[in-house]
Amino acid sequence: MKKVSNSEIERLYRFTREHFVVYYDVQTELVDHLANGIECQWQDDPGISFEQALQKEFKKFGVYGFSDVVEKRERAMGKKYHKLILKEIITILKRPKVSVSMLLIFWLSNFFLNLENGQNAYLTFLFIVLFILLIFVGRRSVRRRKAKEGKKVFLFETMIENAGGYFSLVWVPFQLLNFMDAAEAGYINWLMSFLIAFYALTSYVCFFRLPKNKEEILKKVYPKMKYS
Amino acid sequence: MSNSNLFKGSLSTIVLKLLKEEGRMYGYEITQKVKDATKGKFKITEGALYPTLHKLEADGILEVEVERVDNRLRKYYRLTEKGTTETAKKISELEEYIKTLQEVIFLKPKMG
Repeated sequence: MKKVSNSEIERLYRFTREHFVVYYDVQTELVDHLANGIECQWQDDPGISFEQALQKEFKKFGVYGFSDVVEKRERAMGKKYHKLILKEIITILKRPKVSVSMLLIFWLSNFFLNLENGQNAYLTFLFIVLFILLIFVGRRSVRRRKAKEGKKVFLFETMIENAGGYFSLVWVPFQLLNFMDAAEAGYINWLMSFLIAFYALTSYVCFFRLPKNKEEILKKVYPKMKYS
Repeated sequence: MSNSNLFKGSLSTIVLKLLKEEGRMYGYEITQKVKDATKGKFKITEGALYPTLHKLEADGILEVEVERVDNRLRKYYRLTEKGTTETAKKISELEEYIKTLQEVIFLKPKMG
């Protein structure tokens, strides 16, 4: 039976990239699928050219091409990423050093928030910390992206590097400010202190712990695939 | 199949049942198996299969193995322990649903 050659496999990888599939793991699965489909067509009609068979296979993915597969894959991996964050949080919270630090952040936050005019000063301080963190992560991400140019990019790796969609959640404690006047501090300060401690822990996991253990995590997510 | 909506709802159950029987399978193999088993009446589209497989994988129901076959990498899916339990549950739910549907569709009118 006629088989897809090495150069044709390369062409299939190029084809997926041309159709906006940037992640190597997704490309690999699609390449195998297309190659199987093409070989199957050759079995029925050995005369059909590689390019004709490829176009016929691609049409089976519908009008949106590979975009639906990529989008759903991103969503599924996002879910996996959030589960990983939760698992890491539970693991490190068992360490006395971490749990004591969290209690300290919680207590200090509550103390500052309850000071007269403390809220604004403390929240400005947190905002500055967050801004510095954002610059640090942004610069690190650009540096790593440059180092990766022309190399394989894995979806889960990108999520770890960019800390998922973490920054979209980070503004939640600040939204509570809207309720401040109505609640006259009280339980809002407790809730806010808890959220600040929680975000401090999540930031540590997303920005430092997961990127540090990236290789180990990726080996589990992508068994037998090489990262380079 | 003329009404693809009926099929869509059972896609994950069909995939799980196949994996339970076959042990491990790759994407293209699943599409062909369903086509052959149903004599072409059911056809899994590529755009529906992979999102289903990826969702089941993210939910911890499937696990993956990557192997080099000929000159390319192939991703095999197999059931996890949680997936085996989930499969039995999904099949029994589907059986129950079919039974209820049959009762409703073939409902005999009461006499008198």
